[in-house]
Amino acid sequence: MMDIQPVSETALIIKLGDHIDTQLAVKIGDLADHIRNSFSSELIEVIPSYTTIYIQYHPLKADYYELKKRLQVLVDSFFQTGAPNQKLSKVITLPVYYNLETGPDLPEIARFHNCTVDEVVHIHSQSTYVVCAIGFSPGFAFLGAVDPSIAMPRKTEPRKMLPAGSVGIADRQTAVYPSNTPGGWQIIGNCPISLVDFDKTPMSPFSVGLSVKFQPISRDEFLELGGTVWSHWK
Amino acid sequence: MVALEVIDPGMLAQLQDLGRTGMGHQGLAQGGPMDLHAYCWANYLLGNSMSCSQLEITGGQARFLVHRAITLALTGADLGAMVNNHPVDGWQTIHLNKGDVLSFQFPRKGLRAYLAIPGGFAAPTVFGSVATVARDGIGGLGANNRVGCLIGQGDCLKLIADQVFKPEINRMIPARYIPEYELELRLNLIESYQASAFSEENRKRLYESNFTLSSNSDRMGYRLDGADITSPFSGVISEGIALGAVQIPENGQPIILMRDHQTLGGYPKFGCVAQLDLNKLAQAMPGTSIRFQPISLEAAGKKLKSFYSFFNL
Repeated sequence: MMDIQPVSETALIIKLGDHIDTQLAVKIGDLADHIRNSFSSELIEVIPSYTTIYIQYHPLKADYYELKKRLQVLVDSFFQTGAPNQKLSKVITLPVYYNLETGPDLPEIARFHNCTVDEVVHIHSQSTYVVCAIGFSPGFAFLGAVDPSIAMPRKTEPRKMLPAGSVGIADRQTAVYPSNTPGGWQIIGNCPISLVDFDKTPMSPFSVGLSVKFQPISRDEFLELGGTVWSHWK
Repeated sequence: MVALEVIDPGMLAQLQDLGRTGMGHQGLAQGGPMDLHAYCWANYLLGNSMSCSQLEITGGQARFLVHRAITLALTGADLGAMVNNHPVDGWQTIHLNKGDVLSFQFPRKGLRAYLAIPGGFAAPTVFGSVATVARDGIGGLGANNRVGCLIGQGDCLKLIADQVFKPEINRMIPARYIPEYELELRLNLIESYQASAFSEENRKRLYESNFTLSSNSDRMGYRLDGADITSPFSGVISEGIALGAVQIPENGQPIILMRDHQTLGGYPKFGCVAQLDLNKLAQAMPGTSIRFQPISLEAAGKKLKSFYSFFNL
């Protein structure tokens, strides 16, 4: 499906599906890159997310109806010629120290699913995830899809502060919090690698459609990679 | 070269330019002036390019010491501006001498004043902009400093241009262009996003109700209190959010997304407030009465285009 609708005087949204599907996210990520490369300063933002691509345009450099026509042609030919799927081959591997001292919600997930903490860690680190969207905070990548056997709803009361690097689960999504922020996801470990740097271009290793894997590491490796153990869990 | 030293930043003072664009796909909010109209006039008065950074002073009670003779432009809210304890009018250029103290009192009309200097304030750009987005810890004088991005006591605001005293510039905005920051606002609303899925009853309620601006409003979103609007869904798959989007969360109280809005959101949205109306909204005090009225995309687009053309945005 493809549907283009205006949302404001300077923005439109392209809808490409109606349910969350990691394969669609891969296509949407590639398509967003393709759109960005096919236009210049008339497009201000191109933001892919799960099933949509949001586009903000300059009101004097682009007209909604002409833009819609151009995008329709471009999207159609993109899907006809087959997406290049350049991103599928690239996998980002992130080290994670899974432990009660970095992942205080591990026991609760294990209890919820009637399994062991080790099994939760094993299942989480066995899957390959796809970046479905980036938002919430700079560089925060929503990764799908978590195996149903370790999926768990958000905490009813979000924590007021989480340390950067916290790896969380919310329903069938997982993510690494790139900076210290409040957050309501179930925390299962910590990734010691810095995932957002405003001095770098790109500022984050993630882009929609990329694949991500988690590699369990020991406490020593975690500390060696610059990780710090946070002692303020509540 | 230091232009102004901050004796007291008041309630909230931030550096803003036209915003940090093109980074939404990495999750960066754009920021930018809450009242783009007042901001553009301030740069216009000085003959500045529209991207020259300015100080956005919210809520007044700020004081600045002038370190060298300077010409500045002041627009936006009437925050009771004074030079050495003598009142000065806004919406014009003002010449200050070394040692003068520029101060602001409590807001009298509107909430945010804009202070521009020739060439803008010097600050490190991050992804092409100095715009402050406090939530993301980005922009301002301390780019990349997660704490210090707001303007604080003792900060020195530096110049970019060599020549900042321009006695030959004496400009005033014609009165007909100076907005009244009213206590009752009618906001033009472009229906979009999930609007067509709302029931006719809720659509009617949205247009026929008087809402009140909540004090729980900030640069990210303006919350309204009033009639409950029931959304057809509790949530939607997270999608890109436009400036001015009207979110209807589960409690039925609309939230209008302002300059520091997040890039993605999963609340149902009824549409977007016309961007020029956000400038008036940005000046509204909590308690302001707000009503919505529908506007077509074409009509809203035409108005915005003439604004962009006039200010060469």
